[in-house]
Amino acid sequence: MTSHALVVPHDQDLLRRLKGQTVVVRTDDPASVATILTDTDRHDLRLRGIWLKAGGALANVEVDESWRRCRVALEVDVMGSYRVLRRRLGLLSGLRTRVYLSTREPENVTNVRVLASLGVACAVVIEQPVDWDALADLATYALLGLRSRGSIEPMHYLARNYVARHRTDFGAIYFDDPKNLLHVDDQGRVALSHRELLRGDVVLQSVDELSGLECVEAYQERIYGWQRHFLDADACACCPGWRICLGRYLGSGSSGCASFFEELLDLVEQYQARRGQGRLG
Amino acid sequence: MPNVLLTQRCVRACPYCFASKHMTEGAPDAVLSWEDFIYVADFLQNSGERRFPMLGGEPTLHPQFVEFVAYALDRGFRVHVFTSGVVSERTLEAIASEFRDEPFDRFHFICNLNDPEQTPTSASELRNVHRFLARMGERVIPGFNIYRTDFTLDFLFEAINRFGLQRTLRLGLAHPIPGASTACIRIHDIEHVIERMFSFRPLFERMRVKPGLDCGFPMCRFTEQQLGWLMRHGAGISEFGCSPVLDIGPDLTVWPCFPLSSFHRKSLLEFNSQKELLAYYRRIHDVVRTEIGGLYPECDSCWYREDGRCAGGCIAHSVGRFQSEARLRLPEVYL
Repeated sequence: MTSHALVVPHDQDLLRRLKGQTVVVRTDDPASVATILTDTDRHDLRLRGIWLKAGGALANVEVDESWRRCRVALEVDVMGSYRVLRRRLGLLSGLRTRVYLSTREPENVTNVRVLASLGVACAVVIEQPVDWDALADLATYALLGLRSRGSIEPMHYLARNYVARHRTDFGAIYFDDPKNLLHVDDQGRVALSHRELLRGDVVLQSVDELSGLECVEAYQERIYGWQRHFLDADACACCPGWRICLGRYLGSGSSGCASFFEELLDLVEQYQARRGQGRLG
Repeated sequence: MPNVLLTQRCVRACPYCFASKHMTEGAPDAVLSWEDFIYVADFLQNSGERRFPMLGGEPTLHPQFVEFVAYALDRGFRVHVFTSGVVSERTLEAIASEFRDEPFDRFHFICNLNDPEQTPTSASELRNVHRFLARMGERVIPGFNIYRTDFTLDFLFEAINRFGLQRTLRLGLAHPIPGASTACIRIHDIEHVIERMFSFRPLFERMRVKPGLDCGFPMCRFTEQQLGWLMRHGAGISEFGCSPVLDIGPDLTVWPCFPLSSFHRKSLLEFNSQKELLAYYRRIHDVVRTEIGGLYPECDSCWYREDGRCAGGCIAHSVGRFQSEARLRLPEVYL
C-alpha cells in the first residue's frame, strides 16, 4: 500500500490488483463513468476522481446524472457551440466536474471565461502556443473579477494555497505531482507523469514495487528537481514568478511566461489581501 | 438600466438617427467582445440589475448575437433588443429556433419602425422588416420616432394588426444631437406634435393600442384632457422624464444617452456599479439644469420640475444651445 494516489486506466485486471488503493481512473469514454463507479466500488478502491480525456467539443459530451457521484476532470479540445452546450449547463455547473481546455486553441482562453462565468469549474492547460497577455487578462478576471463564479485553475489553486515567499506547485491540477500522484499503465508499470508513461519512461516495472519508490533515483531527482534551476543558474533562478511556476515552462520554447507568472503572483497576493479584508464577491 | 451596444454597424440611415454622431466618430466595425460582454453582465448583476437591453447600430449584426442573448438569458437576465427589424434570414431563423420557448417577458424586441411613405426606405429593406415582424410577431413592441411634424401613425396600426405585434406603441421625440445636424423636433414644434399625436386617439382606442411615451416630453405642453387620457389609455404612467439612460459602447465607453454621446464620456471600468455611474451623470445633469431649467423659461420655477414629475424636456436642447454661446457657464455643460 502506498500513500500515493495512482492514476490508472480503466482496466479490470489492474483494478483488481489495486484493492484498497486510492485511484484516479483515466478514460477517454464519457459513457464509461457509471461503469467506473461500479468497478471501483466492486474492487474496494478509493476513487479520488475520473480523468476523462474526451477530446472534441464540450458541447458534444454526453454528461449524465451518474457524474454527480464523483469528481471528473474533463479534458476536451474546444467548447463547441454555445447554443448546444447551454442545454446541459444546468447539469454541468451542478457537478463536481472541472473542464480542461488547452491554450493550443486560441479561443479556449475566452471560452474558459464564458464557462466559469456560468458557474462551471475550469482549468486552463498551458501549452504552446500561449497568448500570455490573454492568459493574464483571464487571471485578472478569475481573481479580481466583479462576481464570484466557477473556479479557474491554476489561478484559484494558487490563490487558495500560495503562502507568501514559499514555492507552490499547482501540478496536482494537471495530475502532474509525483510527490502525491503516480501514473500506471495497463501492465501495472509506474511512471512519474502521464507524459513519461506515454513515452514508456517508467520508474517501476510493477505496482507491487511501490514500497521501494523512495529509493528510486529518478523519483528523488524529480522531487528535488526545482533545485536544478539554481544550480544551473538558468533564467528561472532569478524570476520572481518562479515560486508559483517552478520552472515548468523553461525550455518549452515559451517567451512571456516570466511576466505572466510575475503578474499572476501579484494577483494572487491581491486576492489573498482582499479575502483577508472580506472584500471578495 | 444601461443599454449595451453590441455593434456600431447599422443597415439603415434614418434622418433622425440618435446614434449617427457616435457612429461616425467611433470605429464602425467595433463589436463587443465576449470578454467585455461578460464584464458588462457581471457589472449589471453586481448592480442588482435584472434587465439586459441590447442596442446597436443594429445589434443583430453582431456575429455572436444569438449566443449573447442566450448567455444573458442563462445568466438570469431579461433581455430586450432594440432593432430596426432588418435582420438576415439566417439570424432570424436562429433567433426563432433558439428562443421559441422563452416567455415574452424574458426576451422581446423593440422594433423601431419608419413610415415608408415619409422616410426613404428601399423595397428590400421593407421586405426584410416585414419578414422580421411576421416571424417575431407578438414578441415585438413597435416603436416610432417622431422627427417631422406631419407624421402619421396609420402604418403602425396596420403593422400591429397585420403582424400581431404587441398592442403597445412606444413613441419618441427625435431630439437634437449637439454637434450634429440630424432631423429633430424643434422646441416650438413640440405642442404641434402632441396635438397631432392625439389626433390619432380614436385609432388608439379602436385598435386597443396603448401609447407609451419615451423620454423628453414636457408635461406642460399636454392639456389636462390629454393627460387624463394618457392616464387611462397609456402603457403605464407617463413620467415626462429626462435622466441619464446610460449607453455602454462596444469598447466599454459610457455616455449618458445617445443625444449626449459626446458628453462626458467615461469608461465603464472607472465605476464599480450602476449606482455610481448614475450618480456621476445625474450630477452633470443637475449642473446643466442649474444653468437652464428646461426647454421653456417657466421651467426654472416650475413646481412639477422641482417635484420631479417633469424633467423640463430633453436636456440635449440645452446642451446644444450652450455650444453656440460664449463659454461663460459652468465648465461641465460643454461638450
